[in-house]
Amino acid sequence: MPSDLDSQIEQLIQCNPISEEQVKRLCIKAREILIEESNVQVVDAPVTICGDIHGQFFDLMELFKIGGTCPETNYIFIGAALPSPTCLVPMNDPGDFVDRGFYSVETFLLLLALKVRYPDRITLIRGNHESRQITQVYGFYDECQRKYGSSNVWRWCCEVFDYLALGAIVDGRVFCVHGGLSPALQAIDQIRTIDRKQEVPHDGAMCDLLWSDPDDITGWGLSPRGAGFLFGADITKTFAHHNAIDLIARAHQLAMEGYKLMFDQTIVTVWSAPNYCYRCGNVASILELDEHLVQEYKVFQHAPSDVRSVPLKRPPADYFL
Amino acid sequence: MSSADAVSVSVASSSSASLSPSSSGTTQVDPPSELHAPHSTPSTHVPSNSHTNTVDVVHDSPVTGLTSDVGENAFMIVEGESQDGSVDEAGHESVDVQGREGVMVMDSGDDGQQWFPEHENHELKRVKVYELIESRWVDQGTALCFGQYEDGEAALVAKAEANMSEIILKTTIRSSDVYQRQQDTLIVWTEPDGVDYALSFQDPEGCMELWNFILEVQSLRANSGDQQAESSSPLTGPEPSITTASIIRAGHLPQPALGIIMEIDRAIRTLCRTPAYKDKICEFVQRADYIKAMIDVMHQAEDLENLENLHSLCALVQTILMMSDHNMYDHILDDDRFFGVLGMLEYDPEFPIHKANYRDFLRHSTRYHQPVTIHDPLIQKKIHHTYRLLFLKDVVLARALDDSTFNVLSSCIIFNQIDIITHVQNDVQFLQDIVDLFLHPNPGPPISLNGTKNKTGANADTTSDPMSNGVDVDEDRRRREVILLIQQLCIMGKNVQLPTRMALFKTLVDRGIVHSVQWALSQPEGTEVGQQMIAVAGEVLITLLDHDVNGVREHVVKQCEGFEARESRDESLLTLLCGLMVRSRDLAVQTLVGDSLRLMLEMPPPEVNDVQTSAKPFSRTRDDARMEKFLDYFYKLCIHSLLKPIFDVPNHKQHPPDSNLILTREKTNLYLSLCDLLSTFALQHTFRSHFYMLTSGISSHVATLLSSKDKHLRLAALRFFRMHLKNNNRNFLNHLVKLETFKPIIELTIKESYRDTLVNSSCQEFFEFMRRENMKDIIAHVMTNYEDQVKQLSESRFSGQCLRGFIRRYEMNIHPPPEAEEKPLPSQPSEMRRVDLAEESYFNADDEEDDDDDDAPGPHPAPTSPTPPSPLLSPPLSRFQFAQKRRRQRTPGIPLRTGLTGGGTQRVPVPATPIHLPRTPPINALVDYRDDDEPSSDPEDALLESLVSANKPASPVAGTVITTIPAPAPVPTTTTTTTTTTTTTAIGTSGGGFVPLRAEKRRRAEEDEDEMGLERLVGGKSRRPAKVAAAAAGTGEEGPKRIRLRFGAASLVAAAASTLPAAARSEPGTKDGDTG
Repeated sequence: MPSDLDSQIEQLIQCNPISEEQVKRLCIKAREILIEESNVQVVDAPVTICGDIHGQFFDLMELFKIGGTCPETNYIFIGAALPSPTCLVPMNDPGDFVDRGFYSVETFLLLLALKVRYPDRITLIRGNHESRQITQVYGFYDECQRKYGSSNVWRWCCEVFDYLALGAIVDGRVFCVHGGLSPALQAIDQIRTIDRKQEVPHDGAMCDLLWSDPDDITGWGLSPRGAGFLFGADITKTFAHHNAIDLIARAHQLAMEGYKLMFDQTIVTVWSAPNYCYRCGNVASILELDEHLVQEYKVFQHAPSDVRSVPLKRPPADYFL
Repeated sequence: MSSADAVSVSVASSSSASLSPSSSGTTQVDPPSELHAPHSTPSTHVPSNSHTNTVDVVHDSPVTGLTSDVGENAFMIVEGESQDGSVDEAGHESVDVQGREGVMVMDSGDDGQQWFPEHENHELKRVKVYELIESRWVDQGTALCFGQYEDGEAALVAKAEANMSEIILKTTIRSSDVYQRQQDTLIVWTEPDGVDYALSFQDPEGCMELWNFILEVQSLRANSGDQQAESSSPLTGPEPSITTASIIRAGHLPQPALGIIMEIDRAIRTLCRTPAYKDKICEFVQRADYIKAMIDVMHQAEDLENLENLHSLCALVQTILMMSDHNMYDHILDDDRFFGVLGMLEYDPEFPIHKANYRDFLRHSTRYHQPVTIHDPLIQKKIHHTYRLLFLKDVVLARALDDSTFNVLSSCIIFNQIDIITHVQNDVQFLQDIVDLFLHPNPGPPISLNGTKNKTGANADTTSDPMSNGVDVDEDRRRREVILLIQQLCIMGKNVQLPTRMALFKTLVDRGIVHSVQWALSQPEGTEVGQQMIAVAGEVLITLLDHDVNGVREHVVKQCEGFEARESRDESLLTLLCGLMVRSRDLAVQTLVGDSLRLMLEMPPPEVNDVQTSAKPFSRTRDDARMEKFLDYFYKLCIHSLLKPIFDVPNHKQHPPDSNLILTREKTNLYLSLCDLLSTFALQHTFRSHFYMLTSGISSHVATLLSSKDKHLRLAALRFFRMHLKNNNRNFLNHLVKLETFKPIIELTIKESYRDTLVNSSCQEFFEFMRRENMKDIIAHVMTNYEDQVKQLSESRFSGQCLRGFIRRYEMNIHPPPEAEEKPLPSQPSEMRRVDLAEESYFNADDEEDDDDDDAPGPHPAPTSPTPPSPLLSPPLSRFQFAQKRRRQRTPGIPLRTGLTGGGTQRVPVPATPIHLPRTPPINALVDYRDDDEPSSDPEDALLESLVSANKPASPVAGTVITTIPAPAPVPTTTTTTTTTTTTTAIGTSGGGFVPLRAEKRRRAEEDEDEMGLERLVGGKSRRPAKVAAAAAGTGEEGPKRIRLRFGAASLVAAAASTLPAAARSEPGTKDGDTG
């Protein structure tokens, strides 16, 4: 299996999707590994924390260039938002959005393959995009359908999403979660009693972890996203204090500078999709924590666009309509 | 001399304004236009002059031949380098010369002269001539300046304005780079003798024209020098022969020819920046069939194997297509052009060593199938065009597409698809033909459905051929093709807008398309073809179920009615699916069929309110009686075969303890799906499923799966029991107790308690749920029967805390602290109290003893603003109802739209006011509410009850020990409530024994809280209206700032995603965007 897997990883690094049968086996294997993981995975430093990738495969390659390749560097992908949205490109009419799929399939499968190959070296955390509903809306479903001709790959990936951990904690001091805090949770330990094997619910602790955002408010606020909450500095600091953590590392929001520290450095947004949607013009970053948990943010640019930056679809050779 | 041909087009007289740029000139708003104004009259004739010059220059490329023709007025305009200015320039000139341009007449430029007016003063540029004398610019006088060819030499001449015979300055234009243009109106240079001159023009465009003349001369000279020196390829024409200005003057594009394609391309790119020119070019290209001419050039170039020209052609054709003109696509899609266009696009200059094979692919690999005839030729054409458009969009132009072109292509495609879909929907014959194909071949009478049968007689000849082998095989192939056709129709259908889409699928179901699905699903799994059919049919079925689940159910009911009438036992779609589920060993089929069954059998309880999911408004209404019939049928005839595998597993009492149930992977997957289905049934099918489960004793078999080797299966089995906890049906729980199913659950918990894993978390959650809901009977049952194990668990590292809380709850239940119950409590809204308590527990959060009550139902303890909540908020719902409602209301990240206001605002974490609180009893009742809220003994009633009245979760308060709480004023403000909590140090937090730890700290925190509360009081009021307004707009927005961003977003998806780019664009760095 490892050598098999290695060749699959090799293939995925070339941005070539693996076969449906291989995906199936990969997903089953990943499920077996993930089910053994805690809701809040305990991770040791040194480790590199990455935010949203959003299917920008070639930028993920840049990320590995900056941060080191997988078994050599330990990684946490917070809230992956891995297979995510393909991009929503605003058209002339603000209401007219078109979904242009890119490499969500390859991106997610590569990370999954790395997870299966080096389970202790890479931690995948669930993001709000890792859900059936969101992937159907944002194009991962279509991408799977297009690349494999059926929705099976999508179904299997969705099954894997349900098993992904909800957070991670590095040396007991840095708490990683995709979205943010929940009013239903005061202690990290409370997360451990969530039955995470489910589609991301529309409210409650699990939903909030994946959807909330920090904001310059006091206390809790209504989230414009329609799920999760906004939470202020007071909430963040209290949470950090009560759980004896130094930092909450989260993703979920575009940070033009690649990362954004807030609330006296108690929370940071790490964003790892440079030039998001191939148009936002932002830089990306990863957060390296050394063995003493000293933070270093490594900022990187998007991959130079080359011939492969827009994938080709093959139309079906046979058509009826 | 192909280059000459290419431009030997001259202006015909005329006022035929077909290409008249007048409109363009006037509509265009360019700042420079004002500057030009004073000079517009003088320049009127210049363009035509220069046009002819252009022609002639090309004719005889060396400059020499020119003089004779043109005389003095040799203005060559505009080079690629100075595009921007020139466009404007050109644009304005074209205004001036309107009426002079227009018809494209193929005409040699010879007689061009006749169109030139005699030399007139006003063509000349008014300048002041300066000479640098001893570092001082000395005015040499005001002059009229022009460029001139004389004896093969180009010169600048400035004649005194006052006396035209006086030449102030005459200088030969040199090819060396001595000329400088400064600002907009100055040209400065140094003569070979070292004297510096400057020409200061009256207006910028005058300067521009003369400047262009200089450049033109220089490049011509450089070019001719090249030619002499290197005698470059004969195909390379003189360089800058095609200029935007020349095109504008000509009013058309030069005829394409080898060697000048690149320049045409460059010129078009430049011109296209002005929308008016773009439109004209588009129009011209189509009217003059320019593409055809290009294709001819391509054939020449291909014959000559001249790659350079082919690359240029590719670029040119891309430029033309990127002009994003709807009609242009219609234009090129015709057979006689499309392949040519593809041909040109095969030579992408970005991949100079590659050639694509689009033509080949389209000619030889793609096949259009027509298993059922579409009679309308127009639709046929649209089908082909759509395919070609898709091919362009996804393959040929994929790399090059910009947003607007992508948009145009997509909309072309979507319009075609809508037409096709509409046609298919309305073409009765077409759908009839399809369904007939699947109705007749099988032995047995056809099933009638909604009149699909009426015409069967008429079509008998096409379908019911004698069953000779060949025909049969042929028929099967045709059927397979039809299945693929249906799949493509479904994919297409999913692209169009909701109403159209819903209408399509409803029609398909009504016309009996499900018959074809059933046929395909019954194909043998062993063959590759069969597998493909099953996969495709599965996708189709899921699409149909997604859009018209009630229609599909209705279909099944009709099938069964048909069987009953004939007393036959044919396979219905449902039995077929059940059989396939049980039989298949292929994970792909299992997941597909499992999902189909789930969709088909999912029966969410009737809507609590009428807020519906987005798809609902267009879907067919649910007929409850028919649904009952459907479920009846399922429970009578299908469920046994579906669940039989579970009964194949020994029940848990027979299963040896401490041994894992080992299953093959296929079986494991099967059981996984079955467990999930069973959980769905348990939750949604009320008395039917309960009755079935009670009588069949299936639960004890499921309990065995808790000890399966595969952990996923253990989890799935646990979920089944967890679902029953949620249902909280007393009878059924008693049944489970009787079956002793809690034993294996506890065993599983113990087994998993050593490690912090997903299964462990799920097990903890199971006990946590019982504790939170205070399911007294079950807790008592567990504690009395398995006390040792539970005690053991409470010692474990990972589950200990949770189980200790469980035990405490039990202890409290049997020895309720006396004072708790008797305290008279004012009728204060529990909602409020919950907030208090939650806040209280919040500050105790890291106490080890403290349990987490806050996950408990009830709104999040998050009093953002203590202002009175919006009226929409009341009455407070228990978390359960809350969840139920909201689940149907929206998707995370997809903000609500109008009409969903209720759901939107309920999310506001604001303490509720004591408005109507019909279902939330006062605290003292809550302490022991369970007793008077027992489920009734009738299973259905009980279930309904539990669904509707799920206020037990009423939360942390339930069962907590509350000592003295002074009644706060009915209108809650944070200040009052927090002081309340400070005084009541004795408020038990959760799980019973309260821990008045860290009182100081708490107080401190509460004081902070106080202040914040005040702040909120102030801030909250002002914020409130915005919030309500936003919620009313359905977006659940927070502040006006973002509301603005949202309002434009019309569609659901748009709304979800709009913040991203908008935020990124509008305020980069400050408010980082919502990334959806």
